Amino acid sequence: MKFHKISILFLLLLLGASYGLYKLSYEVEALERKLVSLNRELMDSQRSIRVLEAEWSYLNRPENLQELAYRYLPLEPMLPSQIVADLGEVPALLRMARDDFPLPRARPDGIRPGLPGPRMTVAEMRKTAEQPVRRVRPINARLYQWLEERP
Amino acid sequence: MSMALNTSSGPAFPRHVKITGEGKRLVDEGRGRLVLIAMVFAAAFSVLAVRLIYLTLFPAGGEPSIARSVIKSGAGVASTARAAIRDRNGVLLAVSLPTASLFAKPYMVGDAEGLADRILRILPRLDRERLVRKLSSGRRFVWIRRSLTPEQHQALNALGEPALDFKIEERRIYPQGRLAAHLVGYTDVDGRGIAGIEAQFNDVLARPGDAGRDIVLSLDARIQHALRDELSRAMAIFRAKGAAGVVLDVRSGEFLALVSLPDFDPNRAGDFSADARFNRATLGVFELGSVFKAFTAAMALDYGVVGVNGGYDATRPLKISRFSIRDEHGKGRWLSVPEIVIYSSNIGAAKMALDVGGDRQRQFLDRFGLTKKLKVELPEIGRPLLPRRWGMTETATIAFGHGISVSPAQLAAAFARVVNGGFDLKPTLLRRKADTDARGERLISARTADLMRRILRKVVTNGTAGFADAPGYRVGGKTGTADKAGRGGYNREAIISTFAGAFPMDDPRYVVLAMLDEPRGIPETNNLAQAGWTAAPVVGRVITRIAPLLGVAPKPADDPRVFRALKLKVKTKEKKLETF
Repeated sequence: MKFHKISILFLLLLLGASYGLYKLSYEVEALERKLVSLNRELMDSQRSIRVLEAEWSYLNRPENLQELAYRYLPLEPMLPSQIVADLGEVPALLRMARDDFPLPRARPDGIRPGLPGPRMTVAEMRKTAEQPVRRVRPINARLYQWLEERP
Repeated sequence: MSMALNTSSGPAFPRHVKITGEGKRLVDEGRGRLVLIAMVFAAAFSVLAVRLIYLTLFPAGGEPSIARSVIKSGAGVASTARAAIRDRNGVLLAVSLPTASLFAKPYMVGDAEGLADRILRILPRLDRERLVRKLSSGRRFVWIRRSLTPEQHQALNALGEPALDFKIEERRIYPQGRLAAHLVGYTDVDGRGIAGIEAQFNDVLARPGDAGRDIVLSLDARIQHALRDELSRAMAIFRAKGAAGVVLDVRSGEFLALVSLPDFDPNRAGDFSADARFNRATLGVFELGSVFKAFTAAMALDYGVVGVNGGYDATRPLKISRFSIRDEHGKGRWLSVPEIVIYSSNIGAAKMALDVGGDRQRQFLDRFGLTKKLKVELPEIGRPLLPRRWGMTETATIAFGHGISVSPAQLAAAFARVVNGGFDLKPTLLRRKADTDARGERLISARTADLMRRILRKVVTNGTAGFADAPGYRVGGKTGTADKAGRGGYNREAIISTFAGAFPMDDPRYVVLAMLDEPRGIPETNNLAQAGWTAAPVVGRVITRIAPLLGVAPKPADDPRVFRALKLKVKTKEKKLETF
């Protein structure tokens, strides 16, 4: 019976198609739920980022940083004579530097956090420069040791 | 319809029916029509089928945007909060944050005093008596405190008190506080911008959309701070009533800093006086005095009424109708054009302007944008005050900046047009692309612009503005000390001190302007409050601080290239060419 065969075929096709459709629509629904929750998370994160960024901006107010730097760092505002754009300019810059210019800090190991390091003037530095140079100790001796021990 | 049926065989139901004649024709016609209809339907359905296949298999590319618009209208990621305002490096200047506000339901409160004490432990600045009264009022709703910090919110929540609840509201926060208060502006309680950039770009800021719609200003928070810091320091030292400052890029036209003092905290703008909220840099117009001599000299040189070696006799005060123009500390001799600027001679400047003539002077100042409102993205822009009649007297006084009032920002923009090679400039408060050259048409000849550059450098090295020098950064500029116009003439005690500077003068990149409103002299300045003693040092210090940030390398004074770029022979004696 030709007619019956075609009917069964179409019936099966119908069943298959509706199953597929339902499955698809459930999948879409699940994805939409996921999208909504992801969007909500995204908005929460964006809001948190905004709050954190505002806090970051607040804590990094130049006024605040200046105050903290003044209190805790043995640094002073940069002077033109301390900026070298071209090594050839060094002699001229030294001429520009007056003898009483304070230098920000004496030597790297003279720094302790929270305390201004000993100050040195240009005149003092010139005197030190004439003395024989001490051998510089590596910053992290153990790191260097490890590098040397490696086979 | 008539039909002829011809039954051939079979008694009741004939197996086959044959129709002939008229009947057959009619049946055939009916069949034909059916086929035609079937074909039309088939064609229509095939069109639909083909279209369906086409849409399914070959997406047109418009679908993602349709999908996105659907997401936006629903629970999407688009932020409805007011957009942020940032400086040129992305530093947040204004942002809307969700903040919790605390309210109570007093009808649910049992022990009002106990609850008040527990709240006070977290919010110690509340008034205890009022709080107890509020909590024991028995009402259904009462605000305790708007805009809590996250820590306070958490602590109050941890009290676990059912009579307390929170309402989440968007609130405008200005994390940088006073830093750029006048520029950024502020919003009202409903979050509408009512001053500064907040008001100017209210529609843009309020439009919902993606996170990337923040407004990025030309301002640099670090430079703004350096200028504000130095100005407030000078204001305190010289006990000035107010101050204003500008840093402007002379090529891109971007304002890098715009300060007005006294200032206010935009987080609570309502607590400050109208004077604190008044923007002296753009809305205030002042007679800014001798800074105008830079324009007068440029004008005279450009119109060719006098050469750089020419000059004027400044031995005697200049009398025009009932006025007499004199020099403060005159040299009492003939002065060349550069000397008139360097020593700031009123007599010389007035004579120069009279030679040029009032009409041409007006046209010249017009070209430099000093006669009309400054065009920049702010609602608070002051209109310059011009004389009603531009006669001889006005021409002479405007030559040294009296009788014309302009805003400091406007003056800085005009000054930038002199030192940027003599080109027009459209200043802006919004960030432009890096290395933008926004210079427009030429306003003065290249030769005049070059001469002015050298003359303005000489003002600092040899003239009235020695304290403006920042070693290595080749500062140039012009001082201006103006008596403030008060009731019944000028007040010699109340002055406005201004210094308009630029650096590096061998190739000017930035204009730095500082203005002090009624500074008073101190013993260290020999009790003088003149611009050279008060405003000029501010500019020098600011430049020392900001030049490294702006990438301007210091160069020693004896650098041959610098020397060549700034060399100027200044005539000090009149050369008599005429023989009588």
